Amino acid sequence: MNISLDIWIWVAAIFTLFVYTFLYKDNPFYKLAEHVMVGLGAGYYTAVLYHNVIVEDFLVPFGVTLNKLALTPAEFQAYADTQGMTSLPPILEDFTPVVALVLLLIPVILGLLLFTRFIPKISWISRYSLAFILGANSGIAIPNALQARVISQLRGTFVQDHGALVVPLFSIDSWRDFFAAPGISTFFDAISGPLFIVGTLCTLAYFFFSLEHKGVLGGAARVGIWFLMIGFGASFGYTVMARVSLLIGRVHFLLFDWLGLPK
Amino acid sequence: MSWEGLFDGLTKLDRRWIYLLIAVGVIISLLGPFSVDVSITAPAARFYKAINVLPPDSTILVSMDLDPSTLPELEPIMAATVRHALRRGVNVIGMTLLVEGASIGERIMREAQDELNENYAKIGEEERITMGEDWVYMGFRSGYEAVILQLGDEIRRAYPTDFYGVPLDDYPMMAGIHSFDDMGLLVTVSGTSLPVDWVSYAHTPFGIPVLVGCTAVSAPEFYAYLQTGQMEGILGGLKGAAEYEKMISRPADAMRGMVAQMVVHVLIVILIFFGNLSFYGTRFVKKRQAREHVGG
Repeated sequence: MNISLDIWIWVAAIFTLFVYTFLYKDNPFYKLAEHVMVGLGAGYYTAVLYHNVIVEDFLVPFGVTLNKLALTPAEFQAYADTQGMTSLPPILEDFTPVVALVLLLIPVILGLLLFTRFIPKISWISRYSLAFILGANSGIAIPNALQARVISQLRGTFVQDHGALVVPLFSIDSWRDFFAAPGISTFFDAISGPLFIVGTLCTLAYFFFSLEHKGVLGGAARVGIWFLMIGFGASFGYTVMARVSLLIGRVHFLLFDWLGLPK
Repeated sequence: MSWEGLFDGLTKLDRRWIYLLIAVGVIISLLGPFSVDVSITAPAARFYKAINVLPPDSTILVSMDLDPSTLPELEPIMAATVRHALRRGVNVIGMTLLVEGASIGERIMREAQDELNENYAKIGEEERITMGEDWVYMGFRSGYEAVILQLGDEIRRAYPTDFYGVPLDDYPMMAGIHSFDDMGLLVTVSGTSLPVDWVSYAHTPFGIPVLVGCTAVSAPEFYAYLQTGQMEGILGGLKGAAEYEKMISRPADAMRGMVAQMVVHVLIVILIFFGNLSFYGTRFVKKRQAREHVGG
């Protein structure tokens, strides 16, 4: 046993134990850990985002652009040397300093307008910023997302690509393979597509409430429940694995990093 | 004790006993000299093969899009992936799209470098892994899909400098690396839905192969992309990481964790069995009592 002498390991270990005390019952130690974590998270977010976004994306290029505009080429070179600049901000490579300044100010103004939400009388102004954000994101997202999430997925349902891991829903090849070499693997390859279709239709039948669930619809709905239960079970299994992994990670930290027990 | 009392006791069992049981199970599993064999699944084998066939001196992009809440599951995946690539002479560019991942990613890159160099020193090899020649860590940039699209155009537009504020052009490794066209593949390790964004904005427009390391919870969501070939391989949760550790012959935290996973899963199955037993048992006893009451 070789207990860590690192103060931060001790802090992390104590806070880990504080959090786990909640499993016994709610208590001040857990509350302390919870509040410290929220505070630290907010502080970390603010510091990193301020540096990465406000400083790097605005203040630095804005300052350089202003100097580029105000100084003579020789003075600007001297300024660049004193700042240790080896290259210009990317925006100045593509645009003149005046255009660059405008382009840098537009997102800042749109960002500031979002804060009008806090003033009810002029809160409508923030809609311009939101409209811009939605428009820009839609423009970026729609063509790519449509191709990636709809067209390619739809294609994958019907067409088997070379080297694909799973057969598509309608695959005559997989049935041919099954009859040529009957076995568990080929059977599941052949049956998985039809099973998927039956499962989807029966599950939809369970949620179809416009007709009474009896006869064919009732039978399909009952089969749908089984598919739902199997689906929930699989999700639960994955969730257990994920949550247990988190516990393992913390116990691993306490045993080996903090207490220094031999691995 | 009567059946009624037994079923009643099981139904009213304080959940804190279950927590204690799980905790003891995990501690014993981690401390004991136990090991379990891990079978290699096709998605993990494809993940491994995709990196293993890259020629030395090629470059991959590893986006470490994770936060501390998913670290126990995802860190073993990242650690194994980065070590595998560096060991094969494949250069690694690290980055993250999540604020929380910024310093985690840097630590993982440094630990990989230190461990590999230590191993080289042990066997007397002169080769050393160095920042700038074998790996670069660019850190965090905000913007998600906008950053991904910029990377496909020119990396330096998204990242003029790396995590330490050094211009990318100062690193020999980055000479000739400008966009996805200059990379062999990209790996995204995330507990979010960002892997789908990487498929949408990197694979779809630029054609770069995408490998995904994800939490176990989100793995089923991504299998559809594996089937269509939009994702080349998937490592799901600790199990995926353990498979990868086995394939690269570097058993570490994930392999050790699989014993605890197995023990906890067995415990949970037993608990579910007893939970159902108590539920149906109580119902049976109540029905019998009701019949006796009516009959008597």
